[in-house]
Amino acid sequence: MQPDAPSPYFAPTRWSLVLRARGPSPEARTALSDLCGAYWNPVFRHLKSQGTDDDTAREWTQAFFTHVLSGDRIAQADPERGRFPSYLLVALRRFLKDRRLAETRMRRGGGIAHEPIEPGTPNEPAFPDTGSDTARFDHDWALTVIARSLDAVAADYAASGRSSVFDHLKPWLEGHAGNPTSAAQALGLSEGALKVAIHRLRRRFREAVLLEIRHTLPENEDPAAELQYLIEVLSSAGTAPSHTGPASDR
Amino acid sequence: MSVETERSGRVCPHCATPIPAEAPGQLCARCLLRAAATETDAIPSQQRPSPPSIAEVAAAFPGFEVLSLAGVGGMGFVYRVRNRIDGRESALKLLPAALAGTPAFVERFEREARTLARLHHPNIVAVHGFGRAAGFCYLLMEFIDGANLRQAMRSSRFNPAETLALVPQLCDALQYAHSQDVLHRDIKPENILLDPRGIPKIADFGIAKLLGDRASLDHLTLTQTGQRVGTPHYMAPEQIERPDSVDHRADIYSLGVVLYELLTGELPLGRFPAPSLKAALDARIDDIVFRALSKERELRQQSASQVRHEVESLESTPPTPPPASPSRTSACCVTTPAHLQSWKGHFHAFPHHGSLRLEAGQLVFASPNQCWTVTLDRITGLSLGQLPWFVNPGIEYVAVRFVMAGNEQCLLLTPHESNRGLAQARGLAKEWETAIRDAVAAAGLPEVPAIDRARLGEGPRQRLRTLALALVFPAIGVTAVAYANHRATADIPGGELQSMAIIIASGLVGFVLLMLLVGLLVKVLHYFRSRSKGQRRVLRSILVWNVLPLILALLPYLFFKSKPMASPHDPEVSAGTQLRLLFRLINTASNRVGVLPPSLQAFGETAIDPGSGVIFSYTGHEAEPSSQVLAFSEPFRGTDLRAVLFRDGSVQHLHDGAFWQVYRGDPITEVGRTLPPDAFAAEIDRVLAQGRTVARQGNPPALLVLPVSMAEVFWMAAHEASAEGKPHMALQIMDAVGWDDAGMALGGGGPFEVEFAFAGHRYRMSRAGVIGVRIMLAAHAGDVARLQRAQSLLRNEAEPDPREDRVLRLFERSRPGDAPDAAEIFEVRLGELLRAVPSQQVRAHVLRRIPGNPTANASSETFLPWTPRL
Repeated sequence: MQPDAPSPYFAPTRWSLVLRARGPSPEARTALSDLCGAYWNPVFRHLKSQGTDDDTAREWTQAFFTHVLSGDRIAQADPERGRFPSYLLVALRRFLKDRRLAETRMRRGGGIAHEPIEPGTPNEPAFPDTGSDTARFDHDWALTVIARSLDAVAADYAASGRSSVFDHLKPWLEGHAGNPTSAAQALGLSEGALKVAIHRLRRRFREAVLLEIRHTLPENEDPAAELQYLIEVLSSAGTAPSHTGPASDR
Repeated sequence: MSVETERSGRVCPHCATPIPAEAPGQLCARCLLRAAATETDAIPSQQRPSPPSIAEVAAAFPGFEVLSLAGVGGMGFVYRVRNRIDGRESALKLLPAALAGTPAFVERFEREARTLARLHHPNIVAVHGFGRAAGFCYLLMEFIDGANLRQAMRSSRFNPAETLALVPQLCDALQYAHSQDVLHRDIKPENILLDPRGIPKIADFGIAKLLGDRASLDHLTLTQTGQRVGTPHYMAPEQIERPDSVDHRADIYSLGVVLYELLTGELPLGRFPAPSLKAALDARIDDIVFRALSKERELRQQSASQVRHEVESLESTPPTPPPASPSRTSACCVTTPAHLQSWKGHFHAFPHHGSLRLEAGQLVFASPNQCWTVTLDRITGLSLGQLPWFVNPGIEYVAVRFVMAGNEQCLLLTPHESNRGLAQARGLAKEWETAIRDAVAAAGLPEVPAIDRARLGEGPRQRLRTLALALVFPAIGVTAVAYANHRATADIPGGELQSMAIIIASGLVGFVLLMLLVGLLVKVLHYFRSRSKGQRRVLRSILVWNVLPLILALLPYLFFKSKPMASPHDPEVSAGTQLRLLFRLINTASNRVGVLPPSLQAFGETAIDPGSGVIFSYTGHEAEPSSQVLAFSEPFRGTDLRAVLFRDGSVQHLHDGAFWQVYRGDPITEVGRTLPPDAFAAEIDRVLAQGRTVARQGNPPALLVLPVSMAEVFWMAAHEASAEGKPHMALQIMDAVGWDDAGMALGGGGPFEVEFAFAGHRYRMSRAGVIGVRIMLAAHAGDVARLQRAQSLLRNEAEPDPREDRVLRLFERSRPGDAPDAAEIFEVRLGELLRAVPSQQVRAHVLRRIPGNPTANASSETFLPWTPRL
């Protein structure tokens, strides 16, 4: 009943800022830029999974974010489209399609300006949307959410000089883990105090995850539902070979 | 972060999937998110009432900086606030806003809060202040930046040592609060906080009472409170059943639930197992937890400090070494002397079931929700005894008295061979007593003395209760039923004393039957509950001790019920008659004993003299002035008509001996004496007074006063009753009239066919004559249906009615020759008969002239007493 983080209930989130601005305001640009910085990795992995090598993928990712962050793109963000990852994925597919078209045209002589494609235009189907494609993207997305949340919590603990607490108790974030007695001894805590510390770490992590998720959702959207979705994505991917690679499984 | 998809080599311990090397923090991503998705607050967010915003709270409490919403619960909202002046952080608890509008609640809140604010204890969350602000009732409390026990349990499970380490501090806090007369009423993991050092602090003292009040709850909807106030799983039984009578022992129960949950991770629901079966524990903990969880608060630890003391003594003494000698085990029932002495105990055939174990050094009784561990050195008394015989005839127990936590306690253990009943309990108790004594001796301990029987609940009080249950209550019950019956059926001949005698006799016999049935029922129950051994023995015991007595008790009744009624005059059956009459009393208790049958009532007004039980009838047809008589009889002793008192004042003594029998030697008015007309009334008074005297002497005669011309009417009514399948009524009527008299009325009481002279001719009365009389009676009563029935009987004489045959048989047994004037009397009756039966055919049947005698064609108009109503 005593969380020490600022209340996550009312602060406007980044994606909601972008959506609310509906135009190239500096505030929205900053927010989007933050988001893109944060979710660089899923985009990169997506491009890599399309068969490009590391360098090309890195280059394309950079180009994609530049493209997204260009003024008119922000205006195209549609509040109805919902969560940021979905927007990003659709935008990414268009970007790739444009890119390939452009390349083809170049080979044919090029120089023809292409029409900008509005995201979400119904008469124009997006880049072929295969289930595994989306799932893989969301899977990477979930991992990034976790990584960012963990980093945020670790930074908190480091800031208050309790990095060792975080390091020792990190395994309990998964659930019941390890030997509480040895952890308690290592940290110089009683077992009761250790339980309290574990609880506080978990609560902090939960808040961090929810906050991270909120930043990628429109305003007033329940982060718990998105969290559940991410858990499902992770669970189904746990059996799919896409993540760890088919060869390395056995 | 690496983008390569390599494996870290680690496998998630929870979901057993390999964890890739690039996984964030080298942790299982899925489990991380799942853990993050788990609610940390008590109430799921879906059910959570929306709290006032921080801005609202900040506006209401300008003296504080509101830092965050720290918790939401059924008891309100908790904000973390900082005092703007001294910078101290506190928890600000806002109670549901709807309550603050109720003046009564506010008043109670302030009274309670004042008490809470006085509680200062290191293990109680301190209340710094309270009051009302901006429509909220609030409490300002010590802020604990920790976790509650529920959250701590989720962090990592409590091991037994940790749990037991918490107990002394929790007990201290409870003991302190109880000493200040403050009850918590809602002890549960959510209300026990651990501060960052791991020290427990109990929160929300008394809030449950504040919010649990119905009056205040009426103002709250479920959504406003968020959840039910009070937490049923942690509440003591009496707290749910009788919330007003709750005392500090309810908190001890709740503490017991928390302990059980901490030790086992489960709630003690239903028939829950002992903690030591769920976790690696010293089995002695079971006893402490089970006692705290006793349904009866008298069996719990009586104070929080006692719990503490027990837990600490557990830690200070090493656990009992494992048994060195072979242990002994039986299924067992347990009860206590206090329970046995209660009313409930008398009916408790099967108290708590469990198992009894004798191991080296200790005696353990364990049931799914009780556990007693008694080390042999603590046993201070050992005896054999018997469970109350009311429902458990002859079942023994071993009484074990011992000292536990400074108190002397006593358990009554009934070891038996199966859990299905006590039927196989015989003998085992004795074996167990010997075994325990042997074990005590083997342990080198002094011999255990026997227990004073009075302390086992076998004192006079118990005996009195048993007596009351076994005798007084059933007797009162049956008597009440019989009396109600008596009231409902109004008149019983023989007066109040006889009525009471009937009632008591019914009660006693009924009670004997009831007890036999109860015993039978209990044993049959045992028989079916115990399937394994001893079936034949139980069956035999049922047959010998229950079924046989029942049959024996019912046999005489069934015998006399089926046997044709014998004449009460027969000296050989007089004892049997008495018995038969007794049963008849019981049988007809609801059948209007002694009340005149409707067919008789048609003949005149009847009344009962309540003092003597004399039934008298002043019928007296005006056309028949001389036929008014008094006939005395005692229906239930089988004696007969004694005298005829004519209206003109003359008394005719008919049956000397019988008369004397009734009046115990009192001489009757001399035969043939003529009374002056006004002496007639005096004679009646005298007879009534005599009846009263006899009634007072305890031998109440039911005297019947009837017109002599109706004697045969009664006889025939008896016949009617017999024909209608009411032999008891027939017998009753015959008794009332007297056999001789009936016989005499119909022809001298001799053989059924009698010869007599009438108007210069000799006649013989046939069976048809009897039917003729019936016809006469029917005519007299104006009952056309009965008349037709009698006439049809007459026409079908070839097929005699077997029921009539029985009456005839009875009639033939009456003694001839007792009435010298029979013919004379009969002549009168015959005249009536002839007048009553208009049909020539009937006349021909009724009167069979003896050949050789002149035919009588003269009718005796002078005898015509009344006009038949046909």
